[in-house]
Amino acid sequence: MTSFSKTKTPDKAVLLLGSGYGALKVAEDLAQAGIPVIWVTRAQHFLELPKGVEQVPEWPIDLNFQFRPLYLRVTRHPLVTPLTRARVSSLEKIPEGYRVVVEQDPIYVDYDLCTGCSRCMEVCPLEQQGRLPLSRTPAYCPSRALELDKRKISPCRLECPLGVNVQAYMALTAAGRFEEALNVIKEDNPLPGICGRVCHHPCEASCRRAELDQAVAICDVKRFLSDYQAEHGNAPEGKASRVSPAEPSRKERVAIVGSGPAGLTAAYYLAKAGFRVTIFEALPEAGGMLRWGIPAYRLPRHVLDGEIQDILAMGVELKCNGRIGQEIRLEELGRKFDAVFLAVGAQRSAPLDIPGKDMDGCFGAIELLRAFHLGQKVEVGEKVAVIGGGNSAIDAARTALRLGAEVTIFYRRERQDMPAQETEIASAEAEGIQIEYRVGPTRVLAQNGRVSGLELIRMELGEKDDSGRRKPRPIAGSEFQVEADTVITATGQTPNLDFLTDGSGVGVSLKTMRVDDDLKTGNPKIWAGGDVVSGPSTVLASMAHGRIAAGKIIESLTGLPSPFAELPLRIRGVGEYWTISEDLPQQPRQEMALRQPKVRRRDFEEVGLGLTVDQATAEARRCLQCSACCECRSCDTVCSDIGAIDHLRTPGTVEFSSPGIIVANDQEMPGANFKELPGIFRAGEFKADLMSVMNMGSACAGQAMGLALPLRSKAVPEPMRPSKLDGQVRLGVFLCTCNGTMAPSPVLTRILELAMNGPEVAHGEMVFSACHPRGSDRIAAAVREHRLTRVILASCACCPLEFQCISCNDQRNRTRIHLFDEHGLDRSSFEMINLRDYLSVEDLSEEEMIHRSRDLFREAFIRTRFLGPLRQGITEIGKNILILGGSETGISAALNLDLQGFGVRLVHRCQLRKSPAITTSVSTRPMIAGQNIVHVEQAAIEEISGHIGDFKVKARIDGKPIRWRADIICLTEENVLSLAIPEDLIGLKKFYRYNFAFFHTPQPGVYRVSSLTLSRLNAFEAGAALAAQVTRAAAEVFLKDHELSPKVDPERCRGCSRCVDICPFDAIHLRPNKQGTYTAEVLRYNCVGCGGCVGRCPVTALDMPYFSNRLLEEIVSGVLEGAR
Amino acid sequence: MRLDDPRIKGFIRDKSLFMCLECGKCSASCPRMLSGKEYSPRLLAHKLIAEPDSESFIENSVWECLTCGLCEERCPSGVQVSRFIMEMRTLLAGTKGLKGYRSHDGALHSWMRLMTSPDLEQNRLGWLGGGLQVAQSGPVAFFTGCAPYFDVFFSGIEVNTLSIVRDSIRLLNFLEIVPVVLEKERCCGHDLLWTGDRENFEALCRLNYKEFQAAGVEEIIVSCPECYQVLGQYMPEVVPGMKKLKVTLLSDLLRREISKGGITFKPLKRRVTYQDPCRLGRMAGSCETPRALIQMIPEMAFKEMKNSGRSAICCGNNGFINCDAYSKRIQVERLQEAKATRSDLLITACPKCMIHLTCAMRDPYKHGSLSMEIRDLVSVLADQIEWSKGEEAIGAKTRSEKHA
Repeated sequence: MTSFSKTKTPDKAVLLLGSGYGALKVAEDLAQAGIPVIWVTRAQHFLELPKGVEQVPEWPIDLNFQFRPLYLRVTRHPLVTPLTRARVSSLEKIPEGYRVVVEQDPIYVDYDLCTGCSRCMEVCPLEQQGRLPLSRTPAYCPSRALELDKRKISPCRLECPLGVNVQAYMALTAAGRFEEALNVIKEDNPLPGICGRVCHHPCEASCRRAELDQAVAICDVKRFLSDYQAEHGNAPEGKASRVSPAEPSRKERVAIVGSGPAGLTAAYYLAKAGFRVTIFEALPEAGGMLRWGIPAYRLPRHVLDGEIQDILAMGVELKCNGRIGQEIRLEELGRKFDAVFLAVGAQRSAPLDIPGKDMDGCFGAIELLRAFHLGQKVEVGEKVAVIGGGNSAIDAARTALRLGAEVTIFYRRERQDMPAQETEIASAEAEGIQIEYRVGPTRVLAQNGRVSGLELIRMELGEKDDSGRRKPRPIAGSEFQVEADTVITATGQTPNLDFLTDGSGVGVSLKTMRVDDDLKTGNPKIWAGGDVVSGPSTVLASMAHGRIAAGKIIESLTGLPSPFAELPLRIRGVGEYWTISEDLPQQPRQEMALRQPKVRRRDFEEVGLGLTVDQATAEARRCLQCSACCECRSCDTVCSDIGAIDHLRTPGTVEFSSPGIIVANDQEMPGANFKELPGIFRAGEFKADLMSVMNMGSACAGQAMGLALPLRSKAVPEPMRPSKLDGQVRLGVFLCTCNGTMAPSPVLTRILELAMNGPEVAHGEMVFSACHPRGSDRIAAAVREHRLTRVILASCACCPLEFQCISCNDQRNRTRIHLFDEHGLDRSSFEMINLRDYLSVEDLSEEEMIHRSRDLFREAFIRTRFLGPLRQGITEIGKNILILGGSETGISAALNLDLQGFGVRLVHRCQLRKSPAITTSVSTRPMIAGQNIVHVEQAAIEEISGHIGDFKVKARIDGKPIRWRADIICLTEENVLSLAIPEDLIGLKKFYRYNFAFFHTPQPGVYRVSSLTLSRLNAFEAGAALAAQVTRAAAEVFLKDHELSPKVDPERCRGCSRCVDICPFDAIHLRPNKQGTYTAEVLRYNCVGCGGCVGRCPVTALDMPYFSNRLLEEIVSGVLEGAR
Repeated sequence: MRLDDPRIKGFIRDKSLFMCLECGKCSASCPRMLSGKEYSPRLLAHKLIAEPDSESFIENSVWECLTCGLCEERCPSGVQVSRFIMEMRTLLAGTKGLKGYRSHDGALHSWMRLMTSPDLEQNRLGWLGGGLQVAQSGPVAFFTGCAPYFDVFFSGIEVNTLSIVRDSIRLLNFLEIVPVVLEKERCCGHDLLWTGDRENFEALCRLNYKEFQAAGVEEIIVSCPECYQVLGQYMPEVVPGMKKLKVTLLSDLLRREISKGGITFKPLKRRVTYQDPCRLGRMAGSCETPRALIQMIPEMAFKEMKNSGRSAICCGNNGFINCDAYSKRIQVERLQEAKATRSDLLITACPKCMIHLTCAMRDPYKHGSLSMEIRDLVSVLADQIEWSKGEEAIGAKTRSEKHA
């Protein structure tokens, strides 16, 4: 949920560990007391509604809403750094406390930026299918922000040498978004059509769907996407929208030698990065092994040509018929180009070292295929023997078959050991090719210098070798002979490195080029990759080399890191794959239609016919979407202005020192021995009783405050700003488009137009998001630029007050924090209207939207006429604390406060005035330790008057009257309660209920411990909790009055006392006036701004500063006029 | 509006403002001024005549007046201040909109205006029953006024205005009169008239007249002085047909009938005083009749307040506008006058006096020093009259229910 981006993390703070309501209370108490808190939990959210809570009778049914204001206050408190999905990775005892290192999982949607516009959900292909990687924060987290479930990268993607995002293109294909799916492939693989046919698809081997039934036919879906595009694609520029060719933006030139998969791939990425690329190809056409090795029935030439053409269309130059070492010299390339990539492949068949191998009629498979594809006359006779079990062997065999021969493949191990793809073997068999297993050639039989047959020997399989396959051993005496006109050997390939000269600097190991981890040869300008480096491998492996080499060349030439170089993929994401649901039915995989073997063996037309649209979609739906978010990054496109989504976010680390640690969840504490460590306070587990856990939170906060004393900062009061509301009216109108989701664009334009036509509007504009920091930057800049004196902001925020109610959310709160606290704009000059709620009714027509907006703006224009300064009275609160009652609780509180530097007067035994006489006097000897504690053993308390910051207490000691002044009073003795709090308010439940203020009383500045609290905490803890409340109150330094506190018109007030009767907070009193009657007076210390008195007044003598009676009348009449 | 508006000139002339000598007796007696409010009838007259540029002063003053008529009582030149104020308010309301803030957020005025709807369905007779005898048509009607509404609205201060109406009908029944009580009766419009809403006032007049006609009414008996003033004096200005109907004040009727003999009262051993409603005393000139009726009750000790009869002080507010701190002072002083008589029962004859004084009595910070029982004259009479057995049971039952 929350991440580091919010604020700079303090280097000294109290560590609060664990989630829950107790922790929330700890954070509130500490932060309000001026102590920075780093709140760390491995939970995803700070609060999760515990089961069975609604059964606690003292609490309102719907706790979610009750907690919202507190939650918003705490999580957005400037002194609180909330870190979810984070854990303490190291904890070290140091003199000042602990050195803490916290690690946080990556959080992909920035809680501080996300506006909750939900456009990401609209474009997410998985959301459309009811699989929900994006979700709203839960109800107990009052924010519209979204969360992204992105788990460990899926196995298919990890297995792919190119790291192609299989999951994403499956998701998009399943959603019918074929073009986007293809673009996802092209991000990592420029040859989807080719790979869709010849890839050995290790992804499928890793597919977790196989645990349920069969792996997803990933390769076939890929081929489908490419074919679909070829058939239905738009114009070329549209076709390659995500890989569109850029004009070469860089002057550096790169030479690529060889146009096989490695060379083409390198060319693609280099061109994409803006380099000038030239490919040198020895043969007449580009493609390398793809063209000269792979037969057309597997890879139709139009597919090959098309994809090569796409790459050339990016500005890549192709020079054919120039062989390195012959027409082209490496040294020359090194001179003319800034970098050279050698991708010449392994073009020679490895010689089979048996007698007769040089007879006429003996071919290497590669040489045979190349000659055939070059159009040279190839005669294989009637019987062909192929030696080997790889794809080349099969290709050669099937090509020979198509040339009219009867073909047998001889392989020395078992079928499952054959390196060739299973589908290829099966196709070959279906076409009538014989395969003999466990046989090895011993010599070529010849007649007249021409092949006449082959002698073979039977093999048995022994121990497993390095490849995991059992090693074949010849069985002595099992030799046999077969007739053959042609023997084709396909037992490996080697590169031709003849072109390397001594001065090239390129090293050779065995038969391949030697390169370092960056594919760089010994020559700083020359890189090499593909089969020339690795020996014969797969198309995909060569392409991976091409891409890595491109990336490394880019890095070398630009000096900047290139994402292309990041292969293979590293595991990232948070959490394990989805478990496969037991409700998921088995469903076999879609099989591609094939031409009949007897037909297809006659020609070189493609064998497989590809998947249909329905098949491809159905197949893509089989994908389990292992890592939840498929990372197709469709959401990035709609979140580009907001910038909240970052799929590549990495884990964060923060280090700080903490004087003490508060543990709200024991399980989150690293190491179990924390009980022996000093300065660690446990807030206890949540069971059923919310109050207990929150009380305990206060107690922990209180205990930690003493340790955290050096960290405490004094809250700086907001300076009183002169109101500019009296001068000339220059009204600004800002319309939040909520990232374009507020209403359709033409409607928004019309709404702004009608708003601009309002009276005295000097400026109007749309803001992409008012709750986004840049949105508020824009508003603040416009206010200053256009010298606006009043502002109407139409967004989802409902009021400009420094206040959160139960319907507030993080976005609304954030808007105000940005505008008023950070930019320092005058909140009195703002009129905020919740246009979003007005327009988010279902099925509104455009006209209805306009109509509704007009109404809302009409009201807003009326309101702006009546804006008045929101009062900001402030009172300083000192440090003199009076504790009435020297119980263990009182003593605990006194000691705690003394430690924190307060001056404490502790009255050990209190009596009411009429109690029996008291004998002892002020004690001079300290009964408990403490420097600033004045002890009074017994006193009769007669009267408590005044208010927070200035209480006056009349008492008698030994019958002598005495007066005390105190800023804050703590009560631990119930018998004087009625003196401090008006009797009818003592049981006021509502107050505690909505504020979770268990130690507060309806009289601000008077704190108490009730007997109920003492049933939940021990006396010592209760004292600490009480001290925490005192510190909080004192740390605020200035007590602001409520922005909604009403004013009294003394001319009108009849002193009828109806307001006094209705006020639940003792915030309004009657004072005698000169005329002998009474006038009401609002006690701003007590007033919470509920407005009950305003409604009750029979003669309209009370009025609110923010929502005045006059305004209400004007709105009603304005609306009625509008309706007329 | 401008002060040289010929209509204003007309009012000044017609209401004898030119006769003003600026002697200041009006201001010296004005309860509003004496309570500390910046308002002076003398200065108003002066500015109207001599300083035609004092528009805003005049406008404010026009809305401040209580229209209690005490200044007129004192005026040696016969200036008709109240009537002038009424005309000015009507004019100002028509040109500048209604001004002066309404008590209770204008709820009472809203009812009055709602009643101008001809189709309005009212359930205003739900309180009937308990043996009260009324007719649907006939020559004699009883006009209930707003009592059934106030009863609900002011239940918070426990003002039982409905008992006035119920007791009125009991007394009429006692006199063997079975009055018509109209189901579709409207507010008489007094407060609208006096707060400048002439248009709606006239609408109410017409609707009420229509109902009188439909029920065949020839004589209307009223207990409320405000209704009496409107029906007798102002309604005929709107509906000339009203001139043919006789409007009788219940107290006059009672005095006449009782004086015929044969009716006796039970003794009531209380010390009482009497608050003259301004619409009854000064404006209708009926100061003597209520006192005569009170005197008929044996053993009752009656004592006048310091200011009484035509000099009586207003209950503090009129027409439910501008009730404020100054109104409260007037009320407190008036209640202190009542208390000074050492009476324990304050009798009045107007539901508005009862409401306003009861409200002021409930001041919790005066610790009961203002509070005393307050009852309408009609109710006191109905309680003390010697009933035949059955009749008394009816009344007693109804009242005890109410008080329970």
